[in-house]
Amino acid sequence: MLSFATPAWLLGLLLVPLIRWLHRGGPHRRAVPVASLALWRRAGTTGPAAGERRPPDPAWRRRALVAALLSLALAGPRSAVEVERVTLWVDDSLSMLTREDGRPRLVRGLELAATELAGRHGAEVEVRTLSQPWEVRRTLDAAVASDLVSAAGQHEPSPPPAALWRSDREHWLVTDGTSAALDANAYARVIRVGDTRRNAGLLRLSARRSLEDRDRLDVELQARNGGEGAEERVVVLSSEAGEIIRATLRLAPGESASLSASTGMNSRLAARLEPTDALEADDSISLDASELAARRVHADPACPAPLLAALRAHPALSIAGETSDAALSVDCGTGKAAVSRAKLRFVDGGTRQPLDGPLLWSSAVDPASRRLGAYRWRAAGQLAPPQGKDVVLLASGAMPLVVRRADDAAAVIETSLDVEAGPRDDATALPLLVAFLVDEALSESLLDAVAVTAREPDAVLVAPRTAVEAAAGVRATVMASDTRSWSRLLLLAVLFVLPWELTALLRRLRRERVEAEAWSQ
Amino acid sequence: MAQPHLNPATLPAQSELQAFARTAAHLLAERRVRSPGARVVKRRPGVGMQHLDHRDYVPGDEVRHIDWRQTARRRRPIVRQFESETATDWTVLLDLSSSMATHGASKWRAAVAGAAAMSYALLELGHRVGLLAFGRSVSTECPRGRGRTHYASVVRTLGALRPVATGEPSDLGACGRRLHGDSAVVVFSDFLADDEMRGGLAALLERSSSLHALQIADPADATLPATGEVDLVDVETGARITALADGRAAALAVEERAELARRLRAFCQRSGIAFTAWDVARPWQQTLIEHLARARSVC
Repeated sequence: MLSFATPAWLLGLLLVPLIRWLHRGGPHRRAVPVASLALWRRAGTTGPAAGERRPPDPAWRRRALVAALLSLALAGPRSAVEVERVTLWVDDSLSMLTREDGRPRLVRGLELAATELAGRHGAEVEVRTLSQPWEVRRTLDAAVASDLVSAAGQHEPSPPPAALWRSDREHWLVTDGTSAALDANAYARVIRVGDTRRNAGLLRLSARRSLEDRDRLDVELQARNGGEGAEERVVVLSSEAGEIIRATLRLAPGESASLSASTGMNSRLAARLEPTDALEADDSISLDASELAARRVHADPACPAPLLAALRAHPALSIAGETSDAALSVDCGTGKAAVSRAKLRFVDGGTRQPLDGPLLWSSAVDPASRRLGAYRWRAAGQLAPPQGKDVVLLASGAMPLVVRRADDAAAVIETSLDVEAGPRDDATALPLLVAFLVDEALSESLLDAVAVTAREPDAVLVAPRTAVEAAAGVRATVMASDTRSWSRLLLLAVLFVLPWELTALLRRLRRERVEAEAWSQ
Repeated sequence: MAQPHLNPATLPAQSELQAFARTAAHLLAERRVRSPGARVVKRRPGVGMQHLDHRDYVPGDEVRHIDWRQTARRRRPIVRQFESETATDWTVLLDLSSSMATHGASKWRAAVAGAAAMSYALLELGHRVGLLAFGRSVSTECPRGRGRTHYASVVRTLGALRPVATGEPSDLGACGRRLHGDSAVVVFSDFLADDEMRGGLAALLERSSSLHALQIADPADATLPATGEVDLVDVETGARITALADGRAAALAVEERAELARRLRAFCQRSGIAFTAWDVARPWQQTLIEHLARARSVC
């Protein structure tokens, strides 16, 4: 069925009879100058007799064709065509990597989908994964399948975004049916793979700095039975220094269990289950604990003893000599701070004065870090007024107390709070101040650091849900209606005819010029 | 249409002019008898030395020409008349209309060569020569003069002339009002006009002692550079007619041109005008010599 986007342009077709009428005088006649018309009077042609029409200039057809094609193209002709469009949603969760018959479930599912799609000749296919739905692939070949398998297991599936759930497309799903987040009934075709129903996997490995000993880590390991039968596994936790702990876990179907341990400061931790099962990917887990290591701090020897004591008491800091790899340097006025990526500068003008009023926190400071307001601080000097991109983190009245200086080379935190005597009422205020300043200087929260590697709780589930089993099957094909625009084709035709007309005009112009030059010789 | 340019090569060379002048001297000086035994006596009053007759004095006559003896005898003022010296004054008329500029102005170049040659020959013989260029009116005039220095003036005048490409008709009668005294007139033109300029020739005949008409014709005037249906535009009037440019049309045009020349020739014969049809392909020397020879039996 042909329709037009802007039918008003069809009025341009009225130009066709107008062009025909304008060319009624016949072919274009050249004007030839002669010395005297008297010589040619007898050669003059007679006018058309009554009722006799002269043939129009043949060029009218070409020009009318251009006008008609242009009018039709601008009118936007379009016809409806039936197009079969299929979106293949691929469940690329961890469980799809369960090996069955020597290959992952995902490979098997993609093979089945490719076979199904091969039977839909002419269908427009796009392949999307449930973890990365905005990334589209236009074919499903071996290279795409390999790419999908290598990228699988990063996220558990979630329903496709509504914007991609277009009604003019047929939506297929390749899944093992382990996720409860997927509504299998919404899909026109569900290709379910996977028969394995037993699995145990590691869900989480976390570590944090021990509260009793800053040089040790508290480690926690969590495992879960994702199958339908009881499982017994040996858990082995190890580090770079060797095996830390080995324990046997017995897990009922769906049950989780945790294992705690303490170990020295290590940068890498790993855990594994023995023996492995069909889903090997969840039988091991590793953790990078390097971020929990103490930060090296270079302290100015001129710093007051209470400040040095507070720095030593900080669990995540270690006082080091003047080294070039210090993460933080503390300057108390001597200017001998080591080169580092962050710097604390304590300003001491020699006079002590009470604050103008209550502490005022900048919105740039995390509310959880605002723990200094309960103490009666004093100022040991006057900070330079903030310039340019400097940020006042803490102030009292009009007096800035803690300022982050804009410095491209290092993060510089300046404070004029008195750290020599500290608040008079509580000796714990200074460590809190140091913790706050260090966190601001290093832009991280050192006291609460926890290193975690975790999988989603359902990642270890391998048994399909009953609803998915019921939904799997073929449904009626959805034929999407699409419109095909003919404007481009018509414009191409115009671009073909227009040079034809221009060439004809140029040839006539050139011929007349040559003849005129010959005439004037 | 390009404006024709008159370069030095358009004018005849000095050697050609001298050769032509020697030949033309005999034709301009001698008069052939009309019939054996007859003597042509053609005496006209005018400016000269030979006494011709007497007549009554009219206001404006020069006092020194009063014949006092006859005045005393007849008791009224009587002046002497002198015989006009034959063809002492010549005027060359040059058609400057747009039709002379067609086809590369071949007709114009021929007319210029003819006018220059005639002027040179006449000045060599001691005649006074003037030049008038005319279109719808007299556009340029070189007063009569004598001698070789005057030929330089004539050449300068000719060099400055340019026929207008379009829109300039020709009115030969306009030249009649510029003719003073008794002079012979030579007209170089294509005579392409509705009446072949017969009216203008008749008017000139009244004011000249003898009249020469050289019709310059270009065969290209009867050809068209295109085929098929064309609009023919008269370069002088701008009038248009539609014609089918083919061999038949060219043949009709040739016939029409021949008929035009025939009518003009017949008119000139009846009026005692020396007429020559000059095809631009012919050399000007041959054409002018033939014309002068023919003119001796006419004028």
